[in-house]
Amino acid sequence: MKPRLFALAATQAEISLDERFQQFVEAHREKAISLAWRLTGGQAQAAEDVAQEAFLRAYKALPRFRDESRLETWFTRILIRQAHNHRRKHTHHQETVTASLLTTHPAMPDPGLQFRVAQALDTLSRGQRETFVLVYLEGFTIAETSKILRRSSGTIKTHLHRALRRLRSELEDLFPLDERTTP
Amino acid sequence: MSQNPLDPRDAALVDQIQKSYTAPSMSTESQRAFDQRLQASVRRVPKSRNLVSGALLAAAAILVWIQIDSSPPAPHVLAETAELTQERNEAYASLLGLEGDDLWASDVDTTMLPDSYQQLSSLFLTP
Repeated sequence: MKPRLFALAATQAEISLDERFQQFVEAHREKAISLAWRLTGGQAQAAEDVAQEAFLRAYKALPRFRDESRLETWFTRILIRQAHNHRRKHTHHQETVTASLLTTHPAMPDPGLQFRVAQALDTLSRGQRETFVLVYLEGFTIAETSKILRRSSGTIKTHLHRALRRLRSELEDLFPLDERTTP
Repeated sequence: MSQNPLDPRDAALVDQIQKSYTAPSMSTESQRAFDQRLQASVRRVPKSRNLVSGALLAAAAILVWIQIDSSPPAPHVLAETAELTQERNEAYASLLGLEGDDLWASDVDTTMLPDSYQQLSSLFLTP
């Protein structure tokens, strides 16, 4: 086992910064854009801008991180912060932009439904929204989300509970009780 | 996935949201455009960083130089300095027994200087 680990370490050391960055982008591009898209209210261009900025910051910070998992946690945190900054800057345009962008993507299954979900997520607090998206839509564990958002597990669970309660009430008409209830 | 078990109602709601609120998948062309844009930004990083720091350093140096070069001593300092210089020259000349142009003569007995210097110091440095 040991010789294999050493061999792996040597290989990693030989990889240049640019190559390492390229690998990182390829591994995280899709997930980063998806997360940014969900956090910016379903805006494709905004999601790409946010992801670009986060990757650029990751490139600058890359020499500081030898451990890829720590880099990934840090990168996700940066991406979330960028998305939040974008929301804050464009908050007065949010509704019209979201509506127009959602309807200009004919490939989407139901733009109207997406718009309603985006609106419902918009009613959540920042912590509730980010926690909900990370855990339930992006599949991060509570422990991972706790590290990314630098909040205790208890706080994460509280955010999730309140987010679900709010979303249930906001989307009651779209997903009626009898369809949502299973025996 | 998550470590937080959901009741069936919430599980169904989350499932519906997941299905309906998903980013459109990127085409290969879009991915390439994204990567090219990122590469262009990355290429600018070291260059722009050096330029900015170089420009800042140059600006700081110029400001320091202007400050040092252009700031005249305060008027009271100039007056005091001129007065002291004159007094010192007169006292020095008197101690050495010199007058006028003799001050600049090359045959001045320099062995007198240490003692004279002590007397000058006591003259000017004692409060």
